[in-house]
Amino acid sequence: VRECLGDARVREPQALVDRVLAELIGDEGNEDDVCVLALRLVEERAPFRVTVPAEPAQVVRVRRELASWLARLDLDERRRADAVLAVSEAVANAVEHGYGFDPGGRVYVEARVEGGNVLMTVRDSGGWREPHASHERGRGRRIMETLMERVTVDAGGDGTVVRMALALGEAGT
Amino acid sequence: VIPSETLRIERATVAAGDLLTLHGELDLMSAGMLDDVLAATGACVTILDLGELSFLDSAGIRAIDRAHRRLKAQRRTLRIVARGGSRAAWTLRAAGFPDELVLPSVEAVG
Repeated sequence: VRECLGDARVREPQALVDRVLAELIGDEGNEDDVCVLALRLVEERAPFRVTVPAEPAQVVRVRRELASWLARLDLDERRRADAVLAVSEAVANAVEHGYGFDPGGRVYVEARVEGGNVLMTVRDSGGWREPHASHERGRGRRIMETLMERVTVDAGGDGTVVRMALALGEAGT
Repeated sequence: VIPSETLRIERATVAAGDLLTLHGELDLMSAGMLDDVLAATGACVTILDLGELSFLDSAGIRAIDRAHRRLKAQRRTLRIVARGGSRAAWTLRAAGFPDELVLPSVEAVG
């Protein structure tokens, strides 16, 4: 099996099985039953956790670090970029509206894999809010809701928690 | 103009007007740079090409909205270009930015 796969990296179990069968048996008829099993190893990943000061430059940092954490998950490039954007929106919102750019504020970001989803949480303990949400203000929220499978926002007196979920693999595409 | 490590704005003159091509990331961090560069343009038509951006967020889109309003008040025009399949085109759509305001190429600016 190893010989017929060579250096090729096949991500999908079905594609891998097809390739092994094509290499080993090809178009020749076969009298015996052949069974090839492929297993996908689901790697236990340590959760992503960062705490950053409420500064615009830190939003960029969260994006870089989250992107590298996401890189090894079963997500295509577009879905990875979507997850980075959605989290970035939530962090930027905490920096801008949760803390009003007060660098003493802290934004907590967490991402973990659970039940075939990436669950992402952005938390702030800021209390400052714009009294009137303008139309423009809603764009960040809309981006999150369009790109993620699920978004919940709990805003209370002691801060805001944004929770988002994105399905891994084929289910999400 | 405040320089930014994450955004580069390339300026050119084309038949339709001033063309600003954005490279890198237009976000909360760099949106102010776009405000400054736009304030320094004077052509009747200013074209913003977002197709080369690797990242655009809602703060970047707000900067585009501001530019729209400011130029309109001066009886000037802002045109947005983002080729199909680009990250910016995808993000603008996700944000609910009107499709009809996004042109597929600089050549499409009339």
